[in-house]
Parts: sequence; structure tokens; C-alpha cells
Amino acid sequence: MYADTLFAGWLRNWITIATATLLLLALAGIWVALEGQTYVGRAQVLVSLKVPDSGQDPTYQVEISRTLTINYVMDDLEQLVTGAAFAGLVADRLARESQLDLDPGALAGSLQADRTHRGLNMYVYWGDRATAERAARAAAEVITRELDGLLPAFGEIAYASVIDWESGLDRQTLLRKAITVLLGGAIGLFGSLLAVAVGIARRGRLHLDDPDLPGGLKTLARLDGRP
Amino acid sequence: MNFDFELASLRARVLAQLSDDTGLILVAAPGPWADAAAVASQLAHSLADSGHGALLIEAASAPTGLAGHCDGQLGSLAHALESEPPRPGPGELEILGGTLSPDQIANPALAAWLRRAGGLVVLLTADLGQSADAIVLCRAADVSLLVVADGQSRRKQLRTAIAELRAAGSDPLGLVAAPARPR
Repeated sequence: MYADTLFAGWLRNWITIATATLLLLALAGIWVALEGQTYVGRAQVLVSLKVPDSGQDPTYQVEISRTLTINYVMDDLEQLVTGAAFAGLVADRLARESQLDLDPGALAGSLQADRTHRGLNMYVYWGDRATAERAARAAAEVITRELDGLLPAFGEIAYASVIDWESGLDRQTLLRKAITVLLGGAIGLFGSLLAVAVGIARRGRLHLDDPDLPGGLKTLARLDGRP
Repeated sequence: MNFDFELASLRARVLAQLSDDTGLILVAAPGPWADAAAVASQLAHSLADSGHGALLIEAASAPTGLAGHCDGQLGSLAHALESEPPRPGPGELEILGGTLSPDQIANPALAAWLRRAGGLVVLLTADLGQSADAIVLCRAADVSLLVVADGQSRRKQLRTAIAELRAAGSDPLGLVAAPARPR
């Protein structure tokens, strides 16, 4: 099949292609609209070590020891806050302090942590802004006040303090939704283009505006209109 | 472009292939999709309207649907074959038709009879998907036209029809778009 023939076929079927594209675009739009909006609550925790000065070489040994310790602590914290046990503590705290009854499993799924050198950013993704912010703050408070049950040595070697919290529209979700809608349109467009191409190849119908008419013949006259 | 312009254009192209006011014009469809009878009838009427003596003959071993296009003017070809072919005068149109057997179509006497006919003869055969009438008669024709329905006729059937006509010694002049055949 010549590219010109394919292109002519697409032009002939532009209504089908446009309809499929718009339909998929609309369906994807409805889909993301029904999903609702997602908000993100963020809380930042700063971790400081209690490791005492060894009194020896102040340049290397003590600093190396402190560096290793903070690394271990932050690694442990990062793993811990994305687990179900931590989410259970956060859910308990929310129920107790804010009268918010959240499913610990759902909370565990929506909690994410991002460590910095001596701090931890925690994110909670939720359908309403207030809950997202309260949950993120509760997660930070669990680290500062209730972590000994999960990480018994934490209180002996480090302090944790909540230094910041905020909430807002989740921009990544907005981007994902935009991509989903565009993807829906692209699937509609390329799917219908492919379907038309397959239809042309399989049905083998003759169209007189095709550039490659069999036998090199030309169309002499069109008597298929109304006399 | 309107229908009359297209028809006049077809008539001019066909006449350009003929050396004088006589000649045999074969009209056939490669498959069952196009109404070749409509094209043959319109071409014959157009030739007559332009002052030529025209003879429209349906020489087919299967129905072509010509009867639906001639308003009761259809004479019997089988009966006419028993005598000398008609010679319509300028501006006159005579229409003969009726189903013949494949043997009658293949009989060289039919081709000879058609060649003796006066004026311009538009010869309509059954479509090439149904019968080989056009293959048998194309050698006697001066011009061959293949009638197709845009978006309905099949490319494969057209390719086969062209190959068969060329193998029989007749190169089709071109394609004519016709309405889809009533089914």
C-alpha cells in the first residue's frame, strides 16, 4: 500500500478518526474528573544527634562517627515511615488528637518520605486538603514523640523536631491527569488511524481518488452522481 | 463538475479513439458492485443525442439490469441475430438485449454480426466476476471501458479484469465511476 493511498484513506475517514479521538479524549477527561482532586500534606522533621564528643581527634574520628550515625538513623527513619506499623501509630494519633478515623492501610499507601542529610520530608496524599495536612503533621509528631516503640534506640541517640508543614494541590497528580487525558486522545487517534489502515488493506476497496489505481488506468468520468 | 459535463467528457474521449462514425465500445464491470448498465445506457443516449447513430446491445450470459434503464425500448437480441444488424440513422438509438448462452457469446458469428452493425455500438456484457463475456468479445471492440463503483468495487477484481482483458488483446481505455448496483 502506498503512503499516498493510506493518506487518502485517512482523509476519507477523517470523521471516524476525529470522532474516535474526541470520544477517547472525553472518556479520559471524565475518568480523571471522577477520580477527584488529590492534595498533598507535607511535614518536615529535623533530626539532631546526641552523640557526645569523644574527646579525641576532633577533626576526623568524631566527625566520621557522627556522620555514620546520622546516616544509619536517617536510613532507618526513611524505611520506617513508609511501613504499616508507623502508619498504624499515625492513624491512632489522628483518631486520638483530631478525631479523624483513617484506615492505616490506606494511610500507609499514601505516605511517602524523602530524606535529606539530616531531615526527613514526609508527604501524605489525600482527597481533602485538611486531612492531608493533619496526617502529615501527625506523622511528624509520631517521629518526635512516639517513635521509641518502633525504634527503641532513637531517643538515646537523636532528637527530632517538626520544623515545617504545609499542604496544597498535588501538582504531580495534575500532571498525571493531563497526561492521562492526552494519552486517551493519542490512543483514540492512533488506534483509529491503525484501524482505518487495516480496513483499507483487508477490504481492498477501490477508491478512485487513490493515486495507485490498478493497471495504471485513469478515471475517465464520474457518472455516479445524479443525472 | 456536473453529470452532463462528465458524460460529455466521456463521449469525447471515446470518440477520440474511433477513426470514423462507426465503432464498437465495450462496457463491462470487473465485479458485481457497479451498475455498468447505467453507464452503457447513458453513453448510448449521449452518443445519439450528439447526432450519431447509436446501437446499445446487451450481449450477456447473465443479467445486467439493462431493462431497468431503457423505458421499454429493449428489443430482442436473439431475434435480431437472425437477420442483418440494424443501422440506426443519425441521432437514432436502438436497444437490443436479452440473455444469451455462453456458447452464443463465444460464437465468432456474434462478433462478426456486431462488426457489421452500423453506427456506434455500445456493447454491454455481464460483469467479469460472473462470466467471461467481456473477455470473449473484447477483441472485436475498438474501445473498452471498465465500470466501477467508487468505494464499493474491489481492487483485486479490477486487477484481475485488467489482466484478463490485456491477455485477450484489449487494453482498457480507462475507468468510469458508476452508481453502486442495486442489490
